[in-house]
Amino acid sequence: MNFQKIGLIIRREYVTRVMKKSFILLTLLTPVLFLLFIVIASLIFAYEGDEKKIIAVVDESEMLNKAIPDAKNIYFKFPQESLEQLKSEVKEGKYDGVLVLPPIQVSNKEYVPQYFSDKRLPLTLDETVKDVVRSKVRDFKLKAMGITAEEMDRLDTRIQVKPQSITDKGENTSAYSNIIGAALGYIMTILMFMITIVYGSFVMRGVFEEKVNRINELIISSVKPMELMLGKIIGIGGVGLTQFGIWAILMPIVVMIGQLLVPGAAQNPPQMNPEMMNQISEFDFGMVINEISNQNWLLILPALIFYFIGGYLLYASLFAAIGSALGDDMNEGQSLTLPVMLPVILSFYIAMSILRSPDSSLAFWTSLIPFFSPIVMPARLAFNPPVWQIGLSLVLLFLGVLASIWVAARIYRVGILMYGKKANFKELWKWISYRG
Amino acid sequence: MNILELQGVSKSFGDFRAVNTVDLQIPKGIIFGLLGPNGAGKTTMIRMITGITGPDEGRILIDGTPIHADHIRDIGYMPEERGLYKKMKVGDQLIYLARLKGMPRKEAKDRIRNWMERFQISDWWEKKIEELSKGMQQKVQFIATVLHDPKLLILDEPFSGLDPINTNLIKDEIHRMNASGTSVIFSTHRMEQVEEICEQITLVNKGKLILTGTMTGLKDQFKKNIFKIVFDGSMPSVVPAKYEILDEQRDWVKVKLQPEQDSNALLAQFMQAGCQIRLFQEVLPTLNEIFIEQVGEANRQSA
Repeated sequence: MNFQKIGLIIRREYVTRVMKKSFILLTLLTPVLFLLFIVIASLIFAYEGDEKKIIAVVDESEMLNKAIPDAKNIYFKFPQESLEQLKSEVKEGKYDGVLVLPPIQVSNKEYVPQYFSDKRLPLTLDETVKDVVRSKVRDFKLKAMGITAEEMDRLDTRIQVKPQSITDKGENTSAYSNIIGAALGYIMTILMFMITIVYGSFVMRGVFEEKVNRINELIISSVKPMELMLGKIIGIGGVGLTQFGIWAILMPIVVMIGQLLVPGAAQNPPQMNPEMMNQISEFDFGMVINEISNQNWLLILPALIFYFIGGYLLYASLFAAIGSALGDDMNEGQSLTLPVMLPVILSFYIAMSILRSPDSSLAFWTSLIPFFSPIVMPARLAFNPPVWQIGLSLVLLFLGVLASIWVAARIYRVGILMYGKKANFKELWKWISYRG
Repeated sequence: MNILELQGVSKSFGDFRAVNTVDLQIPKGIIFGLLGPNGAGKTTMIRMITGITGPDEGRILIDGTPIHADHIRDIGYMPEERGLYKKMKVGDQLIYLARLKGMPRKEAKDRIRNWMERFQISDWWEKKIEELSKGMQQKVQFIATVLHDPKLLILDEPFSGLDPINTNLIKDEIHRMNASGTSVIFSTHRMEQVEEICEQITLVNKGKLILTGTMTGLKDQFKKNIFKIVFDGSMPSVVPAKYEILDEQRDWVKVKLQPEQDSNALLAQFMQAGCQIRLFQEVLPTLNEIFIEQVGEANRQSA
């Protein structure tokens, strides 16, 4: 192996791609598009219609004390007229509708206010009315049953199961461990999945283009096919790192800009009813931070890097082999790419399922098999799997990478000089067995 | 001294024996033709010489030493299936290819400048390959093959797809480089190109060499004692009686001599009859004829 030549190849693969207009545009525009998406999405969520509605309320239950807080663009009036008069006033256009709250008893399990209008009941109105009436009915019933608000509060109890380890070795996890672990695992799995698929197919396309351009024979009269393949894989890997690096810097900036443009959009999604708000307020942000910083990053980070590199090399080399076996028409390649895509997609689903049970035997076995481990194991890392499992999995991954590079190089060296039709698997097998 | 030596070289792909125990010596400084029909094994031989694949059996010596990674710089190879990176600029591309051959950047740059001046394409440095016409791309391709000043130039079907102007340009360059000491191997199935360029040839068929020799030697070996006489006047009657006439027109005739017959005697017949001789020439077989005859025979034998 001539590392100086591999260096030249890496440099060319990297520089030509990074200098491409399409790369620069895609890399810079993605965060901008993302920003645009945030802004537009939050504007759409915040949009409640610009139509003003005036609703006449007939309160037969006398719970409301002639007051419903006006919601956005909806105004409530309490006129003295009778229902029949109000209905005709709706027809004349003075009101948009009449809301009738019938009398209520403590024994009522159901309470049905009526809304008179020829127009549809708007969703916002429906929810506003329900919210207000629900709390009023509750107050009314509490009062009727002679229960004070303090007594009621005392009925609410917040439940939290706190895990305590028995021995020192036990896992000292808080209630949030599983959620945080799952979230981290989810992010890592998605990243791994994207890197393998996106940059793997970059490698495949690059190999294919060299083949179609008929440049391979000229190049490999100067360098070994293995050197060309490795240079290509590493160069494109560098392009991927650059792209993710730029995104990692730009994304937080974009999110910050987004929050400036649409204040509160990110933290406070509108249209959330009080129950949901309650759940969210129970979510203790401090504990989340605590949990994230409690993760064993000194173990997770290096392991992650190894899985990134290993997973990329393993799949990129297979994609390179596929690219070399393609004929002059890339679209014919489906049957060849499928066997490589399949384990990637499969391990993504496995990773998603084991987020719920990170110590299951499925999790154990798939995080040892090199085809699956680069995507499955990162999902488990946040759940503190035993160190020996990580070690064994990494050793097996390393061997798997060597094996897949070896097999891919055998196919590649023959494939890049075959022109015309794409190869089938029988031919690929023959190529692997060809000598020198 | 031989620039290239193949000693019992064989190569198989699965059950298919592409090259079958080939022995070949190519002397330094000549233009050598590697001839044979498509699929004869020429490209496989070349790929072994350029180190792209290794032989299953046998040895390959370049300039006296077994083939080695350092030979990459000694060989300039223009493959039959050739192309360039379409999106790369001409200058960058040539520098890249030269550096893969192991040439320092500075030296590569100077040489590329020289070559581009020679081909009068100096202003293409910043152009992308895809912006160039086919003929222009061929010039760049040729520069890529020779810019590291190889000892051995291997050209596989170099003129396929070339327009007449570029064909002549590249022929001239081949002769010029050969005159300054570069050995050239020329692989083709088009015989007429070889006749005017090559000094020695070998005929390949089904992975075997069936004929090797110098151009004049081979023609001598396979000549059939046929003479063409162009003359004014009427043909002496003794000629059709004594000799085998192959073909005749009003003012010329083709005669095949028997081994005991002498060409001077034939000419004398015409002169005695008072014919004005305009041309008297031995008709040598074309390479194409030798080729077809030999390949046909080889195929018959193997059938």
